[in-house]
Amino acid sequence: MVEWTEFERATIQDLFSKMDYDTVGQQSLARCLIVYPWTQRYFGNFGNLYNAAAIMGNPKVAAHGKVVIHGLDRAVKNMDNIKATYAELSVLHSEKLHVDPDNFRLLADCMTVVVAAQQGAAFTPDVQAALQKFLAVVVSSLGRQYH
Amino acid sequence: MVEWSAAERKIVADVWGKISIDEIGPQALARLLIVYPWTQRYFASFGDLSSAGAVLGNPKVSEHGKTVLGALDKAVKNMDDIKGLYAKLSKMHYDKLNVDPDNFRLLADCLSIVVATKFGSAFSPEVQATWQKFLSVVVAALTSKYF
Repeated sequence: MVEWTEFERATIQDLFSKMDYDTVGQQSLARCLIVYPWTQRYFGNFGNLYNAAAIMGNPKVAAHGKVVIHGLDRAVKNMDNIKATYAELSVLHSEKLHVDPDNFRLLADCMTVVVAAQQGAAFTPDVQAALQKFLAVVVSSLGRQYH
Repeated sequence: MVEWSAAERKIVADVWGKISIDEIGPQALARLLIVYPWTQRYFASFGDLSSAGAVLGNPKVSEHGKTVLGALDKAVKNMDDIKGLYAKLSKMHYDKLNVDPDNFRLLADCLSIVVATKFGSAFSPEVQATWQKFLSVVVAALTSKYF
């Protein structure tokens, strides 16, 4: 089981309680589609993803980004059992959506960049380490049911 | 050879022009050692790395951060032959320093995070994509003599 220090728990609760889910969701998914363009293959029905401006302005990207980030809520509320929390979602991504699990890490990286840009100097090394640890556990849980 | 558009060249030069090597270098290296603690194994002679505070205050980390970031300057000024530029440095990291090349990517990620905290919303998706492309080329060049 993953061990969390008091600092890590408090940091994650704090970050997510103050988070603007709409913005972070849209930005994270948009950046993923822009910076790692092969990820666009999963969103064939999203319409215009032709360039960065199109992606940034695409309402389906914004809506889906929000869905994905809200999906993190359950992990935030169940930090001691993230693996079980995402077991079904992992099966969905592997068996139905056929998502290469490497892409979970790419989205997590984009989310980290978005939070860093928003927080500036408040995104200290300790906070970065806590968020990246949390996201790494989420990513690992989502990849768990693939094998 | 890596193709760079005029826009990409401008973005890399702009970002580099706004960064202080003395400020950003130490921060990036410190974050690497804090967020990915196994990387500390390469810096056994640096003294106290036992906590985030210790790493952030460590003068050897600071010095070495400046050295590493200073070496990026050459790549910024020679974007058309980054591989040739870093051939010797790659060989040194492989033969002499025995650095696992995965760690180059981790340091590049930390550098992007530091730039994001400094630039805020100016670290737009396009800037992020270009900057990460540049760092990927650097990482590939540093890995090129490993095989």
